[in-house]
Amino acid sequence: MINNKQLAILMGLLLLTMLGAQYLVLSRASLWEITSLQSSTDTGTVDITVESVGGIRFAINNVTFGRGKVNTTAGNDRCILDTNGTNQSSKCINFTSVTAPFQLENDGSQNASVQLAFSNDADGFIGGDPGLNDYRYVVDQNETDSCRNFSGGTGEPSASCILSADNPECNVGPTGWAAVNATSNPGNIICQKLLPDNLGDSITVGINISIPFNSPAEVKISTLTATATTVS
Amino acid sequence: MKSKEIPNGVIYALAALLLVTLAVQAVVFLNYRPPAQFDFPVTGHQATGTVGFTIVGICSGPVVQGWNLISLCANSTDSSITSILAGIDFRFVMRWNKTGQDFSIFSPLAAQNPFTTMEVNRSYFVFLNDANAVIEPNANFLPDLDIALVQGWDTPSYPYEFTANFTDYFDGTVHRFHMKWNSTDQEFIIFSPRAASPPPSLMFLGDGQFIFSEAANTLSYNRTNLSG
Repeated sequence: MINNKQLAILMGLLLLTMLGAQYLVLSRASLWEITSLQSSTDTGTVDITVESVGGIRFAINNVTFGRGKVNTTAGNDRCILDTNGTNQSSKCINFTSVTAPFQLENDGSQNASVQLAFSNDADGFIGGDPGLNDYRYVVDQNETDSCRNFSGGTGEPSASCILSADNPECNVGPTGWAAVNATSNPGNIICQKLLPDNLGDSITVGINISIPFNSPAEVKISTLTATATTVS
Repeated sequence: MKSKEIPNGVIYALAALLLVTLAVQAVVFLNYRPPAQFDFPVTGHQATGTVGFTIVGICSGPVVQGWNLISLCANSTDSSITSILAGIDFRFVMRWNKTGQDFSIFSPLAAQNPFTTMEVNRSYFVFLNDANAVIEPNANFLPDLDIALVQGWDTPSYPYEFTANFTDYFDGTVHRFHMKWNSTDQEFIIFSPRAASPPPSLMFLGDGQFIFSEAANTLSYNRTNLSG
């Protein structure tokens, strides 16, 4: 038969154990404030500290070749236009010559890796005979040495250099006209490390299109999405 | 010496304290929320640009908001109205019924329509809600064409991409009137070879026309002769 003394010792030990366990739980969970005892509403606070964010903007965000058609009366099967001013007068009728490529600028405060995605490829954008249509792009420095390679160097990539983490010497790319593939965001890397300095923080994206004679008559639009991710 | 017995009151107090502690613990655990975990890479800002152009049909003529009398000057692989006028804000297409000498009307809102395609040898009235339309297919130019005309009014197409004078194919021995459409004023321009001062007789790419014949005949288009 247990007497009161033994019972009191037992209860005391139990009480001490529970209080100790409760202290440990509350001190780790920081839940000394039990809101449900104070109010019928539930509140919370989330603190997020963003140390750095890549910033990117299109300083030139629109390339428009205007309205025109292929000059098929001279037996031409396509018309080629690009942002270097190419506008084949004998093959293209009424299109607008464009000499300003897209211009991408790092407007953040950190070095940024830049990726580019296209909403459609040649078939989706231009249409017509798949053997005649072309939709291509090229990337270049706008301000000297704006885009650096993976280690921060200024070494120029070779023509065949494909940008990726496996090609640390590449800075911008593709450096020659490359076919556009429809890609979901964020797309392909076009610059390993775009500097944020105002005097050297921009690259260009040139566009080249070939319009077949049988491309449907309509308004054609393709959207480019550039994504900047901070890098050290 | 016998130890002193603890009074029952103390036991009851300890039991009460134990119960209170248990209740507090129950409340704490029921209200426990794990701390939010945010574990994402710091990825950046996005920006978009657009590249665009407009391909006009090889025989697109100027159009207006309202009625336009048009014809096609190129073969399209898909001659359905919905394909040829894809992306265009139009309300009606009217085709001349040469037998009944009246119009059949196509509406994109109708459950059923009397016709659903556009042929290269006919002219059509198209009511556009938007003047910024490109209403011609982009395909191959048309060769020489022979179009059978009935006695009375008929609506042969003008099927070429170049400008020509309709007096080069208007046969005064059987054709009595020619009508073009003035889309600006929304009215016909009537030509009669017997008129003292007939209106201009040029046909431009994409133009439609009406011809009144005194007998059934064949309108023969010779591309080479007309373009010369």
